Amino acid sequence: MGRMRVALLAALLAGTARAGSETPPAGPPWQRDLAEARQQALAEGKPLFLYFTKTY
Amino acid sequence: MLPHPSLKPLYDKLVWVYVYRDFSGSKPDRAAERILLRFGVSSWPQLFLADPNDWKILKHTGRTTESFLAAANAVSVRATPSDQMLERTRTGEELAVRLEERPTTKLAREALEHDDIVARSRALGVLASKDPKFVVKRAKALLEVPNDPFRYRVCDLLKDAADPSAARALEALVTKPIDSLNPNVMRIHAVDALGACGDVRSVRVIAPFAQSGEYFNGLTGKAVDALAAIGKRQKAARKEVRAALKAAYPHPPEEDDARARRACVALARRVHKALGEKRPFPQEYDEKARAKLVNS
Repeated sequence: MGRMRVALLAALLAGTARAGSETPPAGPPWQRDLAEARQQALAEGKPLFLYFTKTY
Repeated sequence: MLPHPSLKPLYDKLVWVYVYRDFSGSKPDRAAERILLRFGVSSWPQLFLADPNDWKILKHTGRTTESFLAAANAVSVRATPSDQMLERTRTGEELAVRLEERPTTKLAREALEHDDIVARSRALGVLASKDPKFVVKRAKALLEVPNDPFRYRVCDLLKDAADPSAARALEALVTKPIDSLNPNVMRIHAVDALGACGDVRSVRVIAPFAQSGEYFNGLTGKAVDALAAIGKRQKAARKEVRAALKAAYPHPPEEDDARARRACVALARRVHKALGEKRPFPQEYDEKARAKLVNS
């Protein structure tokens, strides 16, 4: 029971840290500069995906 | 949601932009803020797909893998970019950065007329403190700008200016917050401004929100306060304000929920105060007590 609680708390904290992190989630090739991202999206005919977060 | 194997095929189909604000006012933070201004983002987190041609928000993705996949597979972008849009963004961004570095009234007045929302937002920020009258004079047109934070700011300036000429435009915004990403918050700002600018006609627009009984919604209390403010300023509106406020006493919750009860009583007390009732608020706020207050 105690271990389960610790695991749950750890999972919760990990989720919180990711929610407002300066570092984007692992996986996609993230960009920070909107002008550059737009240029690429226009050249390649792709939509932009924007993920807005902040320090909590 | 990320990383997730089922999203991997999308890594190359979208251009991924991460916008993080730390509110330090640093150069990267200001750049992130300009992206927020461009898309009218005022709450976090926000995740959406946008068209790089005209910045139009195509779809909100939600925060589950399923909703993200559904949204990403449903959108497409125009094939040819508009040179006019590209130029508008370029000059707008330049103007916004100039205003960040040299926030003069002259430059802000010029930027407020620009077609790009980022330049206009930065200009509004400068004029709010340096020349609010310039903004108030243009309120009607500015309240139609499809950008929430921009319109919140205009509403806040109108509240301070208490300009009755803005009442009809504010009422239109309360009735139909067109192009708003967050209509409830948009209404809160507009209703708040109407408390200072509105008249008897505004009472009819605000009343349904005061009477919604939604005690967890900040808009309800704001609407009650706005009605009271109009009644205080405008003798001709007092009878209508009083009737509207009486109908705003919320019905007590049917379920046994302590949090709901507390919120309901808090709203009922707010209505009671707005009415300027001399009689003490009942010890027990139930349907019987409510009926007594409404019919007194």
